Formats: sequence, structure tokens, C-alpha cells
Amino acid sequence: MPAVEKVLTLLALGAVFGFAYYSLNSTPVISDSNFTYIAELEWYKTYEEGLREAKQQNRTLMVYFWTIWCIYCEKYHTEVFSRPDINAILAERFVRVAVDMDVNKRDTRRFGVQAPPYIVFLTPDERVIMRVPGYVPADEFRRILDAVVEEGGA
Amino acid sequence: MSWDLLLYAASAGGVLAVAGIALGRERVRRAGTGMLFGFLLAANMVLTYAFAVSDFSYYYVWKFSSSVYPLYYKLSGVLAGQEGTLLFWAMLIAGGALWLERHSSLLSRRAQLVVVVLALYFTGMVLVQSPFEPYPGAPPAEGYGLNPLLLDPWMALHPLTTFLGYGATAVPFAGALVYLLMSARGSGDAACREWVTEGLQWLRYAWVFSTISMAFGGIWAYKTLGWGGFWAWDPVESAMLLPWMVMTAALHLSVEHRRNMRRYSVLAPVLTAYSFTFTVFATAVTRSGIFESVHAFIAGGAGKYVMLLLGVSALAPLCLGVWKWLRVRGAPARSTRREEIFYAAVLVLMIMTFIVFYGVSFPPVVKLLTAKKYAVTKQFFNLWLYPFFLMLLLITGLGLSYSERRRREAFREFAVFSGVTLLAMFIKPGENFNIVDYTSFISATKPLLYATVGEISALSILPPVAYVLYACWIRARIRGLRLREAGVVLIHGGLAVIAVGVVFSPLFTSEFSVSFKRDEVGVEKPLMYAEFHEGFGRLGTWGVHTKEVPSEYSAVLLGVREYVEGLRSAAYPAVSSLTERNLSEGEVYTVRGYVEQAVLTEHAMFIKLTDGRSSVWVASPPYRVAKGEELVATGMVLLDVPLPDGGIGPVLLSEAVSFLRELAFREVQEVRVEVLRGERTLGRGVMKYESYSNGDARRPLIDRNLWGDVFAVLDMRVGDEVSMTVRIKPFINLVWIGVALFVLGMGLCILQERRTNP
Repeated sequence: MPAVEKVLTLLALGAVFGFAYYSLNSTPVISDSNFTYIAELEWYKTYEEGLREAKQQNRTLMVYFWTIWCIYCEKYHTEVFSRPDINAILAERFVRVAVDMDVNKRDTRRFGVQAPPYIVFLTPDERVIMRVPGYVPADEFRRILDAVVEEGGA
Repeated sequence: MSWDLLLYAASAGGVLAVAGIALGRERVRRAGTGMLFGFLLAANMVLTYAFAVSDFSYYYVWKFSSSVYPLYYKLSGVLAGQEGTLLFWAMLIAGGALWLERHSSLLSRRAQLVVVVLALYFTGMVLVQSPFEPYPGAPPAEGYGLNPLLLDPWMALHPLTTFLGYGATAVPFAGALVYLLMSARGSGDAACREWVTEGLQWLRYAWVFSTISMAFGGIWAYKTLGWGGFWAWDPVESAMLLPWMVMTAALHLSVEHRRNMRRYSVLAPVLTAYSFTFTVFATAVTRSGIFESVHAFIAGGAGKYVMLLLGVSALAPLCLGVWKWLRVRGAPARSTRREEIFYAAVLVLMIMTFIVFYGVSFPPVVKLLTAKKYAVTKQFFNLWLYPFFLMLLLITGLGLSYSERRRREAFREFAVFSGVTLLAMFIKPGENFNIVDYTSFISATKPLLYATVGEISALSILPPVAYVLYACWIRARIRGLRLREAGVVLIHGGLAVIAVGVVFSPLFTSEFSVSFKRDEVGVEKPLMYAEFHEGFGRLGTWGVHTKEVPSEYSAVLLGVREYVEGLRSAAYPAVSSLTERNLSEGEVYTVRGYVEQAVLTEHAMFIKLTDGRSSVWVASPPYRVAKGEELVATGMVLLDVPLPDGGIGPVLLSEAVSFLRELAFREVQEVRVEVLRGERTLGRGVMKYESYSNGDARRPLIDRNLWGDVFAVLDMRVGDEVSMTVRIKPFINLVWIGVALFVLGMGLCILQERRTNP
């Protein structure tokens, strides 16, 4: 191999290995074996876990269906769930479940969800309070939350 | 009879062909290859016909079709699932084997052997998960249907173009493997040279179809809410980009290899072979589900066979490549400047390919090992790829404008454009000029490198783009615009145009939300039942209303229409289709007819259904039915039953009848708006919210202009309110124009090749 091309090849290999190493250590972790982390809150990964907790605490359940590639989920995370007032309500009033639709097919089927994002609010005795398909902007989402809190008595 | 027989017959043909090639019997080989292709073609035709006539006795047809679809969508169901696509793919590969009959060289024969074995393997995968599997139980009258989001003209064509592209990589794959093997042994030089040209031409076709398919997929994603634009870097999209990138690299290297057979004599065939490998990879990501879920992989079906094929097709070229590299260290010791620039560009492209590959594949691997899930979102790809993309454009510019004569000039230009690019990275006329909004990363961690790249100004794309366009012009001046040269200029110009579109369009998109309440608008006509299209429906309309938005924009509501579209009655067989058959006791049938008479007895409700030609009695639980009402009944036939009118005859024993008015195909809310900036109309049109029995779909308003689009989509559906999100998307159409240039340019290259090497 000609000298210049040898150098170019080595540089490219260096770039590839550097990238592989650096990106593996710098890419944020979104969930581990216990929880999913969205909007700096902990979310249960399965409906079962969430339901158990909701029964124990007698609080309303929020089951949120999402995927990693869904743009509107990201919008939910950054513009809606992270808004301080909404974040506080989610933290204090709800038991949160984040169903990753790519992984947790069982819960996805259980609620018949077709596409993310999708939210279902339930009472601890599994009565559906409201279904919210698709994305809802922050102001409207706040109104929905208030209505759900009132209805669910959470 | 199960049509799987066709697949077995095709397999027999494949075995015959293999035997013919191994024994050197030409007739056997020809007959075998012909059988292989012929029977696979027949199987595809049978399946397509089953979709065309909505034959729901096949589970696969039931799952992906509905009798109410127009023919266009019915046919698109053929390639909606793994079974159908594998069958189609198998046929294309077999077609490649047949095509190889044209050539008589030893290399072609051996390549044909590989292609036939591939076709056999694919046929085997189809048999594992056959599209001809019957529907379990009595065939239903109506199919489950495609996901409503897929009911889109672009999506209907997307799989077709995808698999035409994928199918075209099989022959170059086989050729490259045999070529590596033979050239490592130093045999068959002339055939090898001829083969490089053939492989190149196949790759070009594959590249064109892959380009078109990604564009169709992009247009569809752009229209379909939830995917947020034409490209979202989700695993399926990224996996589709991979074969395209590998093909692009392979095409460049093969052209260079043909010019000088001692250059890239390993890398060019290895990458050519990998074009196929990555199509298998893309299939594995798309269909098997392993890249998000381990369960679908273990669950069986053809998934594990796809993985096996992936392993073999990844290892074979690699091993052969290494072997040849060790045997023939044939590369010249010196290289020219032009060759070095060329090589640098290909290397950068390969680094980018690796980044995409890594981004798609490391999260599932890590998740398998540690249960940790990484947030590999679009920012990951955008952040890592952008610097290399700039590099790629700059080197492309240099490569296009370089010639030995203007050597100094070319390097000077390169230095100037690179310098300006560096400067432009820091110039930000406004807030939103950051190349990537890295702050919206899901987690709070913001690594240094991300913050650095994320802060680069989007203006930095302009100098490299200008450079590529300028270089295209220089190249055209130096080399003229004959077919191939024009093609090369168009393709690289297209790349520059796309670059502006993809960087600027998301950046300068403005967005606002607006909602109209029924009360404030006023209802012109209440909801009422009315005849509609071929079905019937409820129809209601709202009035006209203008709403200012707290920005320079405003939206005028021009009207809302709400209606329910019924099923076309033809979806169900009429009564006479039942009475004209030889009925057998205990069989289940579905009929449609008008109520002629209804009698309530102590056992059941007897309804006499007629279609004008003949009539039949249906026994059902009591219903309130009116004479002349149209209904559909499914039930078991009992022969020789005493009838309410005194006679004896067949009765359809039905547990439930359906009134046709309740069998809605879809409910539609149709909203017409006009979007203004100040006094000026930016765009207008209709958007829809459609609810189907198997899901909802939102059809946005897209009003295209040369400078950009007005894009509006309905938000959640609440009865008394329509709320919508409106986006003004400038520069978006540059992406589609660029793709058109890609296709046109490559078309010219293909044409030129056909002229010189017919």
C-alpha cells in the first residue's frame, strides 16, 4: 500500500476506534434494570410493577407508552414532563409507568396501543380515567392532568 | 391445494440447477434455473392475485388487506409483511440466476451457483413462514387491514422499491465472492475484468432503487405524524441507510478498480459483497425486531435464519478478502495525488458508515449484556456525523475539481473553502443557529465533545456546499458534459443540494398551535345521516372562523366536515352467491342482503334476506329490523329446516347479524384551513383525522411551494374542538430535488455503461 494511503488508513482506524470508545462512555443511559429515567423522574418499566405500587400508595397510575425513536416522545420529555409545574404534579400525585413499546410488547398489547406517544390514566383499581393518544402541548396537558387528578381523587 | 407446492417445485428447480452446474450439464442447469425462477414468479403471482381479489382464506392476506381498499393498497399488502417480502426477494434473486445464463465464463457459472444457493435459502425461509398459510378456521368476510398509517401512496411503493434494490445486490455479491476467490488464485483475468463492469452495473441499479425507496420512505415519514420529519434516525431508517452507504463506497472503488485492476483489488469486491450483507442486516433490523427486543428473535419464524444468513454473508467476504490480501499483495507502491484524494473521500464515507452501524447495533448488544438502555437518538447521529460530513463535502469538492494540470489551484481552493468553513462554524446570526440542539438530550449529562460539536453554527454547511457546486462546474468545464460526466456532476450536485435541505430545513422551521371550538365557530349543519361516496355516512359541517396567533401568523378555519364512511356493500357476497352454491351442512358462510320479511318465533328470529334474485332465511337472536334494511350475516348452514313460510329449506344459523350502517370503514374529521403571515397567504388545504377499526391516522395538510412547505396536522381528537399544529418549513423541498438529481445522474451513468458495454 502506498505510504500516503497507509497513513490515511491508520488515521481512519484511529477515528473509528476513538469514536467507538468515546461514544460508548458518553451516551446517556435512559433505563437500567430497575427504572426508566425520563424528565429526571423514575418510571416503572412494567404495568405490573406500577399497579402494585399504585395499590399500595392508593395513587393514580399514569402509563406512558414511548419509544426511543419517537420525536413526539422527546418533545413530551423536554417540553411537557420537564416543565416545573407538570413535573411536580407527576412526581407527587402519580405512580408513573413508562412502557417502552419496542421492548414491552405485553403491556403495549394489553392497552391496544398502536403508535407512540400514548398515555393512559388509571385508578388503582384499574378503571381507565382517560386515554391520551398522540402529543398534547404543555398547557393542554396541564389541563388534562388537573382533570385526571380531580376525577381520580389522587 | 396449498400453493406451497409452487415453492417446493421452485426448490426442486434450484437443486436441479445446482446439480447441473456441478456436473457441467448445460441443459439440466438451464431447466433448473428456469424452474426456480418460473415457480417463484408463479407463487408471487398467486399471492398478488389473492390480494387483488381479497381472498381472506390466507392468513397473510387477511392480516394485511381489506376488501374496501382500492386496488393500489390491496396490492401493496403483498409486501407488507415478512412472508411476502421474502417471497418477492427470493424471486428477484432467482431472476439474477436466470440473467447469469447470458454469460458463459467460468466466473459467471460459479457466481450463478452462489446465486442459486441464495435463492434456495430464501425459498426455504419463505417455507418456514409461508404467506400461503390458511386462515385458521372459517375465512372471515373482512380483513384486519394494514395499519392505517401505512395507507399512503408513497408507502405503498416504498417496499417495492426497497426490495428491487435489495434484490439487485445478490448478483454482485456472488460475483464479488467468486472474483475474490479466482483472482486470489490468479486465474481468469479477462473474465474478472468483464465481471467488474457487470457488478458495477448491478450495483448502480441497486443504488438507484435504494435511493428512491429511502426518498419514498422519507416523504411518507414526513407526512405521517409521530416520526417528525423526513428522517428521524430510528433503527430501521438507519439500517436502510447502511447498504446505501456501502454501495456508494463500493461504486466509487469499483470504478477506480476497473481503471487500474491493481488498485482496490481486495477492498472493491469486499465492499461490493457487503452491499448485500447490509441489505440482510437491514432486513434483520426491520423485520426480526432483535434490535429493540430479544424476544422476537427467539420467538422463531424466519428471524433466526435471517441472522444465520447475516453471519455467513458477513464472514465469507471478510475471510476471502483477507485470504486474497495475504496471497496477492498487488497494490502499487506509489499512488497519484488524485488517487489519494479519492481514497480519503471513501475513507471518510466509511467512517460515517461505521458510525451509523455502531449507533444502530451497540445499544441492543449492550442491553443484552447489562440491561442498560442507551439514549441513541437523532442527536447521537447528527453530532457524530456532522464533522465528518463537512469533511466529506470538502474532500468531494477537491476530488471533483482536481486535475494534474490545476493541481496547485485545486489545493489552494481547498484551503480557502476549508478555512471559510472553519470560520463559519463560529458565526451565529441568531439563537437557533446551533447545528444540533444537543440540550434536548434526554439525560442531563452533556459530554464536552457533544457540547463542542453542538455549538457549531449551521452556516458552516454553506462553504462546503458552495465548494462542491463550484467543483461540479469546474469538472464540467474540464471534462465536458457527456453522459457519464453529466451523471457524476448531477449526483454530486444533488448531494450539495440535499446537504442544504437537511441542515437548514429543521433549523428554520417555525411552529404554532391553534384551536377552534365548535361554540365559537358556530355549526352550519348538524350531524346527519347522508349518502356518501359509495357508502353512506354522517355528515356535519362547521362555519368559517379566523384566529390570530400570538406571532406574525394567523390561521383561518375555512370549514370542518365530519363524516362516517361505510363499507362498500360489495365487500360482502350477496345472497345469490350463497343460493347458487351446493351448500353443505355445517359450513360457515357470510351473506349480505336486504330484509324482506322478519318473523319472531319462540326459538329464534327468522329474517328473510334477498338481493332481488334469490333469498335465504337467517336464524338469529331477536333484533329490531326494518324491511328493506341491508345487513350482513355470518353463520353455519343447516339444511332442510322447517321455515316460517311453511316450506323446508336451508337456514343460516347466525349468532349475530351486523347492520351495514354499523360497519363503518372509517370516521373522518376533515378540516380546511388557510395560513397567513400578516396579510399574505402562505398556504391552504385540508387535513384529516381518520379513525379506523384498527387504529387512527392523521393526514396532514401539506401545501408545497418552491421555498418550502406549509405543514399542518390535527392534534388530539376532541369532539367539540379542533386543535392543530402548523409548521412553516422552508428549504424542505431541496431534499427531494437533490434526490431527483441523484436518480437522474445515476440513470445517465447506467445509460452510458449500456452504450459502451452493451
